[in-house]
Amino acid sequence: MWPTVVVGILVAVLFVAIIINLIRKKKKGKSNCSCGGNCGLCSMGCKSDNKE
Amino acid sequence: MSIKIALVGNPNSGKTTLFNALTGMNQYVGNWPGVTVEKKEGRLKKNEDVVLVDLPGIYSLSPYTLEEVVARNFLVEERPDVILNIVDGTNLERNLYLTTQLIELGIPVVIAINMMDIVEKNGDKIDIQELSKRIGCKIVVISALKGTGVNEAADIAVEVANSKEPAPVYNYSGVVEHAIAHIEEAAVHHMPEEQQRWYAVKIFERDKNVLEELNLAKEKLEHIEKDILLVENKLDDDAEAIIINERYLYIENILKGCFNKKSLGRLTMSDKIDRIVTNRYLALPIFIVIMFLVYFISIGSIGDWTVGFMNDTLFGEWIIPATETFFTNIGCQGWLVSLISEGIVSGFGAVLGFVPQLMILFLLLSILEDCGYMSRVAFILDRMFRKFGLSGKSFIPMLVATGCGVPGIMASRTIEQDRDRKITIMTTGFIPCGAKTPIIGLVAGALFGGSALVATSAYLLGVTAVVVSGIMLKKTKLFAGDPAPFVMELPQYHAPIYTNILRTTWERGWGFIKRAGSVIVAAGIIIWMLNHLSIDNGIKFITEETGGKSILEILGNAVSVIFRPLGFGDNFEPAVATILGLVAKEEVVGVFGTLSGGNAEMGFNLALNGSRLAGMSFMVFNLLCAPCFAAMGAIRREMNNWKWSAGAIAYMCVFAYAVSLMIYQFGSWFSGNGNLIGTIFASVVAIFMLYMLFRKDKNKIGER
Repeated sequence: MWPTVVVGILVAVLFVAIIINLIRKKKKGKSNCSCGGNCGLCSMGCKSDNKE
Repeated sequence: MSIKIALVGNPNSGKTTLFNALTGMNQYVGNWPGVTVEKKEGRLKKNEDVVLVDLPGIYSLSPYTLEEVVARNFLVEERPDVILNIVDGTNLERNLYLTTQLIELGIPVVIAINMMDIVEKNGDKIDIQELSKRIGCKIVVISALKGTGVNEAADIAVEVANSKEPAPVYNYSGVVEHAIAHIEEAAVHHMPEEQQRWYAVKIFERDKNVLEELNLAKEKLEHIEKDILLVENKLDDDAEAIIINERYLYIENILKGCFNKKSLGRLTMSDKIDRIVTNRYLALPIFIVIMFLVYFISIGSIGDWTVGFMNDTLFGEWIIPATETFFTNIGCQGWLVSLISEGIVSGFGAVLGFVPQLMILFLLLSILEDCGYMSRVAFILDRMFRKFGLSGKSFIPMLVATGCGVPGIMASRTIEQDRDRKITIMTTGFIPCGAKTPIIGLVAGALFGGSALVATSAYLLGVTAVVVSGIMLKKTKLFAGDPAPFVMELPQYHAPIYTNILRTTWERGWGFIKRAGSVIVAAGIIIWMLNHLSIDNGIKFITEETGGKSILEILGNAVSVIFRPLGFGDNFEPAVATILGLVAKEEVVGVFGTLSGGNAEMGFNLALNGSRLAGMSFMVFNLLCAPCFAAMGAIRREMNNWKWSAGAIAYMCVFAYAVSLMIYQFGSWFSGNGNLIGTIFASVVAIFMLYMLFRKDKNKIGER
């Protein structure tokens, strides 16, 4: 029983973390494109990262 | 106090390479003009107080395209402390044309002559000291690629910025100088002294932006116009041409004696290669053979082997069974083991399995880009595109889109004409991006024995879809008009720089892995849940005993009706994969991985009942239909109009549906399994498309 609860919670946390991360990225204006929000790759977009 | 250095130069002169070398950043470098369309900032590695601004490449300060506006506005409005002007030594005269304008801005200028190794290789000689004396600016020789002289250039720029001394302006011929002096006196005398000359020259050129900015009184303008007309009459030319001519005369004078061009008239190695590669008849076959080889290596041979190993052995035999054993042994219940192994690991693994294939593809494309071949492709395709009313400029966004559609769509900003830009935005998504490559790999692997022809045909289909759309759309009133002229300087070929190639390959691949680790994992969990929950008599978990239809199956079946005429609507999985592909195109493969317990190819094969025709139709639809949400967002931003954005996305979907319908219905008919109603519909679509393609272009005649 306990292993199921612990691992289940971990899976739920992983899922929620991914969703929160995606929402945060969206709010920051970073697109979830294949360049992964990496300005080094993205020659035009993702300008918010440039001043790192 | 911080110092701001602006990196300014012609397109493809090496600004971004220098920027990366000085800041330690990893901005994308491409061996074709127009890679940078927005300014980028970074701090000098050696001195955090120094800010470097990488500006888009420009030929002049007369803004014709958006990136030229970006560069000019920055220089004029923000006035950096110093301009580090990167000059391509192999094209000295043309690069110095921009230098003459930068000097007029009244901002201190340091010249960094790049690509001196090629200059020397060509046997040309530049007397740097003499040139520096004649122009009145400090000059430093650099090789941005090899990193030589770059720190010295930055040090000199900082030194010059601190001195705050602008370069001495040069004089035009008597009449022109006289008129400019009049304008300075009449219109810009109230401005800081160092800025007066640039504004006066721009007023003389009748630069619209400057005239708007200054908003001069009508009488003053009339007075100035008299001066300009006087010069124009005397020199028998228009004001802008007079200034261009004067600048080139000045450059010719200063280069006399300090620039010895031995290679004049002699063919360089690049010219010799171009004679074959851009040959009128050979260019297109060579391009097709090269793309076939790229896909043969990346998807057909080595790539197919790596995918086989990743999917069948690494995930199929090792990771998934090990995961199941581990979580069962620690006491997790069956449903949780299934969620982890099928929902998370299988979906993630199915997508991750394509990473080596993608890495090889990205590596080969990076080599082609870096050595200079891809810019030739733009030139080759311009000849073809132009016949169909499109500009070769449309190819640059397509080139960028092979990595990711989002920057590809954004690259359409380099196209000045609104209608051409809109067509490019609408069609760039047809080119298979990195995220779509696994779909091609899946179809090729599951139904065509990993044949490279599938991938090559997918790429060529993308280019054909662009051309066909271009022809059809250009004949409508909305997009009518001649294509914008396409002027692009072909860069010299050079051996690929391994740091550039590895950086680009790694970053594209890493972006793909990160996405698989986030969107794909989350989507895998949702798919697994929807596939294991039933709503028969309330929500309940499906087990072998209970049976029943899952929510996913019900939803999938509802949607799959739409895809039945396309051949992949008999089962719910392809419909679910297509819809979830809108979230991220990688998810198309992820769905089959999750639903088949890790073996995406087997799942795909079963879902399409082993039909190659249906598989091809599925691939074509998913490659051509609406892109992922991120790319749709980019379309909305670039179109800046929701109606146009919705129209663009709707067009892509309808076009994809029409092409897939024709492929499946005609294919079925030829193979003897044709459906009469389906064939009639496909014929109507084909006739309509042929009519749109070959009808008379009324708008063109009207324009003439």
